[in-house]
Amino acid sequence: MPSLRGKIASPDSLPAELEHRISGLESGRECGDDFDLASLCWLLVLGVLIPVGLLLIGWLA
Amino acid sequence: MSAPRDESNADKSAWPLLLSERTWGPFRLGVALATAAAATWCYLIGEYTGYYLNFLQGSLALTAGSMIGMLLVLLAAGPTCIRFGIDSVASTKPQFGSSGWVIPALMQFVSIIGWNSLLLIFFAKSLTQLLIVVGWLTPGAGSRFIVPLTTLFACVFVYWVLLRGASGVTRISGVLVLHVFVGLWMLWLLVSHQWPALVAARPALARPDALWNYTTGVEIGISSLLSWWAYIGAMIRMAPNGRTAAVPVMLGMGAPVPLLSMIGIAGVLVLKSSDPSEWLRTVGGPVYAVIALSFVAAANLGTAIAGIYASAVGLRNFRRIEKLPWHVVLLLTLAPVALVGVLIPELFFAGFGAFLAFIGVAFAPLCGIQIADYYVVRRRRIDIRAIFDSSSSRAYVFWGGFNPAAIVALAVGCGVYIYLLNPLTYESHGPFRLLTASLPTAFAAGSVHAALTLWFVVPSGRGGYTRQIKKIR
Repeated sequence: MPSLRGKIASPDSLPAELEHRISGLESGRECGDDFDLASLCWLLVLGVLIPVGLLLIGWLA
Repeated sequence: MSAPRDESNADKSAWPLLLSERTWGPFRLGVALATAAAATWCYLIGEYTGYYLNFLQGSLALTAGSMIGMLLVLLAAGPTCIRFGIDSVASTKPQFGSSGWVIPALMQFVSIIGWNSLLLIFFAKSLTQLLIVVGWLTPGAGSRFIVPLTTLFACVFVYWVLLRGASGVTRISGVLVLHVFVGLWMLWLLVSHQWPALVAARPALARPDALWNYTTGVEIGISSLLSWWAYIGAMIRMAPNGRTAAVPVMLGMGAPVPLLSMIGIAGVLVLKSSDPSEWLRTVGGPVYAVIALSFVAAANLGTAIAGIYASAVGLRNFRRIEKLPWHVVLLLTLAPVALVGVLIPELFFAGFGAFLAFIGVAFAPLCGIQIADYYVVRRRRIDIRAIFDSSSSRAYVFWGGFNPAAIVALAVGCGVYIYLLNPLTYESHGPFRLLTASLPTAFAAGSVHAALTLWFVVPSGRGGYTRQIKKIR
């Protein structure tokens, strides 16, 4: 990782490149969005409702 | 150095990825995850399920368990990894502390290296069999040397692919994902040729208690998918947001395992062998055997590439390794795999499975702790600076870098799991037959973590919780 390594500052402080990335995240500029309502609905369907349905079908079969 | 060069190297570090570097869309992520998920272990998972359940019940229980397990993993590591572009190991620092994260890091390293050693030895054995089937190698002759040599070759190939970082993973997965469809074809072949026998087949180790058998099938699915915790962060951090990742993770990583495991269930029920490279020769002759062996080899190689990548990124969290060149980190990650494959492949096969079973036990409490911490105690607030800055004033230093609440919760969770279900003997206690082992374990560990945090850690003012708790009140 020569290019990132090249931006390392003093041992006590964060490397300049890491500092730049963290600052971007803290400002919200570089933050990805958490699961939104639609994603959570998909998770509910795929991770809870469908498994429960499959379990019921399998048990009654 | 120029900015584009930095961006191209960011995926080879454990540092947070910028939004511009998180370029994987839903399809690319789903393909990479499917390639990582589908490997020889699917047959083993199916085989264990087929010992207790018939084909229909086994398939449904395993699919349901897998989707539940995938959901737990995604809710545990997913939000922090996706929001900040970090890997699974870094996402544990808010719970385990600025030094305590080495516990999940070791779990990840041992689990991935252990499993990938097994997979690459499987790969070597499949290739050896392939050479025998096509007549390029005499049975018995030289196979003692072929397996170590092939393992070494596989390690060199993985190293070469991963020199490109995440783009190496995505490029190779675009080709190797085809093996998922070959697997489905094999399943169709077995089901269509053997349907009457499959319907009539009875599981060999089924117990009189039908509910116990059914719950065991679900538990096998959940616990198998919980192991994906080790892999998932390094992959989903390449996606820009939760919406992009949710469905590809659930379908790309959660669905192929139960689908391909059906090959193992059907194989062990009808032909008493879960390994398609053994029974496809019987069903379709040498041509089918070559296809099956190629499938097994490709599947394991794809998984190994994703696993070694995830492990190398995880190792980057160690300060000394953070500064090493990427190719050296890859060598450090691959060296144990190569040494095992070359020096002690058979011994490893015989003895390491038991150890890996116990390592798998720890992922359920880990997920419970992360879910309780992120959603209940912290209310989704993460201090990204404290994840990477371990100076004494930072929030995640706790006590000397360790958070006793998470460590105690992890130990309690492991104890609960082993009490409910011994992963080696399948001896069970208490509410296992109604609740599985992984779900109560995750709940217990999460509850212990939340309770200890609220009673002891928050009043001490450590862990960066104070602000969140005040806002809740």
